[in-house]
Amino acid sequence: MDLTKGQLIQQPASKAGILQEQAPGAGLILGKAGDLLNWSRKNSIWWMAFGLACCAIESLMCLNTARYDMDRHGGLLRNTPRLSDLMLVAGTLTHKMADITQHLYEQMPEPRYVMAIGGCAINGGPFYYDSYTVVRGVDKIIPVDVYVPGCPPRPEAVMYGIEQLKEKIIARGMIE
Amino acid sequence: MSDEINVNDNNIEDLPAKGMIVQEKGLGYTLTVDRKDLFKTATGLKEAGFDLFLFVSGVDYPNHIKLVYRIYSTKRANRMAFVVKTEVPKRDPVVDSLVPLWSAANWHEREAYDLFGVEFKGHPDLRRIFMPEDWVGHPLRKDYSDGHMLVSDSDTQAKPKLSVVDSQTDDGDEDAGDEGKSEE
Amino acid sequence: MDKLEQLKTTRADLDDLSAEFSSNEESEEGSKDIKTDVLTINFGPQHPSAHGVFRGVFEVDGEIIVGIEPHIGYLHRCFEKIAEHRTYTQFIPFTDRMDYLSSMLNNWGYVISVEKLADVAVPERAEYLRVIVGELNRIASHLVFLSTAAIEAGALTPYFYYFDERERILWLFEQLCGARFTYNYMRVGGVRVDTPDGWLDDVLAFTERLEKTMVDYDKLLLGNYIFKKRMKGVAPFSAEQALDWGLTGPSLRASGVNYDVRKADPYSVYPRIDFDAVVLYNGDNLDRVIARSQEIIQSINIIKQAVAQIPDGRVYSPGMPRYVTPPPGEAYAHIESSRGDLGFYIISDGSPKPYRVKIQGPSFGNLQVLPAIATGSFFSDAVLIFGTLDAVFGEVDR
Ligand code: SF4
Repeated sequence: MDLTKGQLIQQPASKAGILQEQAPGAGLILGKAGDLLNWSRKNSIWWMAFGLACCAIESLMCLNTARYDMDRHGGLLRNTPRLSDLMLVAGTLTHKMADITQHLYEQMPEPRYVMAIGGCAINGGPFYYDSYTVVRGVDKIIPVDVYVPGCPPRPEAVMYGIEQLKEKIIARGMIE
Repeated sequence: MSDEINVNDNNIEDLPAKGMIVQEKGLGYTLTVDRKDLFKTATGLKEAGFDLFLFVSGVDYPNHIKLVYRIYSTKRANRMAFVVKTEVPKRDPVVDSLVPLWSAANWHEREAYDLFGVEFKGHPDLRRIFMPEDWVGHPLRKDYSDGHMLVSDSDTQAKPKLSVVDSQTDDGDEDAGDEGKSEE
Repeated sequence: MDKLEQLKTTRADLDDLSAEFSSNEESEEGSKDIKTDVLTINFGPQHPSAHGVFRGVFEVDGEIIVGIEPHIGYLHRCFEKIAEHRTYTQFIPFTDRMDYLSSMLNNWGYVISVEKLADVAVPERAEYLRVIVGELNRIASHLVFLSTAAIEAGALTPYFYYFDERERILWLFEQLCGARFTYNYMRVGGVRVDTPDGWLDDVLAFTERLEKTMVDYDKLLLGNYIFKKRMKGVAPFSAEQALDWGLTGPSLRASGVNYDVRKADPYSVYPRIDFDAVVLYNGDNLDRVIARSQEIIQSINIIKQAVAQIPDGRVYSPGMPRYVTPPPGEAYAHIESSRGDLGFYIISDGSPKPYRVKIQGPSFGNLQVLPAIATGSFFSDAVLIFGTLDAVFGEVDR
């Protein structure tokens, strides 16, 4: 490809339908603004690790180690909700923690996504019965985009969940 | 276990006559005291070298709550553990706090207060520890129920199988099945 | 050469200076003139260094902590209530989730108590397998401790190395029982399955590898000047204080009290195994870290001996009923978990379900030390002190 001459490269529609023209010394990108936004969002998910219980070790700490290496997915681990797009809720939510969770969610900037990791975050998991403090699922408190089942899910499962979330981001219109 | 324990220690003989040291199966040396004598007994134990307070726990019975303390000695030559039991009636669940003797009792007593509603007289900071401050009721009591709690119906399933248990021939169990394979 | 010497002397000066500064800042004349107010700082419950959900309200005067008000209970999952509604075997998976960093040891503590209550004998091979997996799990847990201690001191590199070793242990567990993290491996009367072919050889190979790599890792972390500097002399705790506050486990032994349940109240086949309880004497942060690192070495030692001694035979005692139904009575048994003295006090009323299960989690007792131990330290050391107490919130809150 000769970059000195202007060239029009059309990417396949599945890749966000972006028209790209490369001119000497400058770049020009044509496309729907929403697609572009979603495309960049999808590739730079900054997540907040909201580890509550056992799942946090297995699914969040292991995920950052050399063996699983979440950074490959183009994201950064942030520890504050104000800088993150995705909240990974890993663990058991109790009534005492519920308000705080909602508060954290409200601090996140739009568009925000939530992933429920593990049985507890989905519906209370093993603590569904006979437990007087456990909230039966984070979706009782905040909207959840992706559910990753398991007790705890393997780190690979969380990676798959991230990939699913990326598809969801792409499929979403700019303004909803 | 703590087999070679000498009970003929002076400090233990000093203990109130109401309390009797017995060796309970599964628990080791146990002392059941009246709640009025608890603090005195505990002081005696502390002086006798019992320096590590391990836990206090409540057990809910229909009319009373039994408190079980476990105290350990790292100083005595024959390192021994001691279980002290006392009972408080449900109408008036008050007992002396042991925080002045062992600081470790602090959170354990708060836990017993939170989950069983036992009040510890002389505790410096008796508040709920696990549940939110405004929670109603003491959840580990047998009669506790609230709107949040879904009680599993496994109660009704498991009880009738008592007869099956006694026969000891049931091997339809998953674990027993696994086991059979792995052994042979 | 001169430069090196110079550097060394500066370091020595630095040591003296900081020792002076941290021991009695009252004597600092300048600080008396500055009027300071007590500031209240909230920490948690959502905080990356909180190891879960811990909330501490810190009162600081300048840089010095003058008071801490810990708030727990954000992960209270009602294990003790649930236990009353499950059969004895059904509760085993829940014990995995209490101290989730050493699930095997929790399994063990529970089944050993039920066995005592129901008078069940355990085959010898199962006992040895329990020792092997228990010690492997202790290593895994201490590896997490060391990596988090490093992260909190600002060192990210050891985390990757320690977790790599931990992955190897998880891989061994996965071969053994199919789960990486929550094993549900032990049963009343034995263990669930025997080892796959060649598993014990894999364990031996792993211990040999870890023995070598731990030397490097110790150099990497404990030989690091900055790490030592941040840890040494911080929050020292004397033996009397530690006992008074009911500290157990490696943190207690770091203060000079030789209380290891494996030695003090031997269970399983530990009497047949030759090992030392790690006892250190300074009781500061650095000793609490070194104690864990030394315990890993001891655990390797134990595993090697156990693998050498393990007999063939059953791993599950024959004729165990589907529902274990202990006779009415009470039993208490405890083991040395990776955090301390883990005990289960179980009351049976003769039905297939326990009347009451009291879980004595070592993290709970260890965490309540925090206000006593951290008051007077620098605020920047708070997470380090909190980290070296090694509380796991599944167990603190239960
Ligand atoms: S889903 Fe299982 S592993 Fe995850 S937090 Fe709940 S109990 Fe723990």
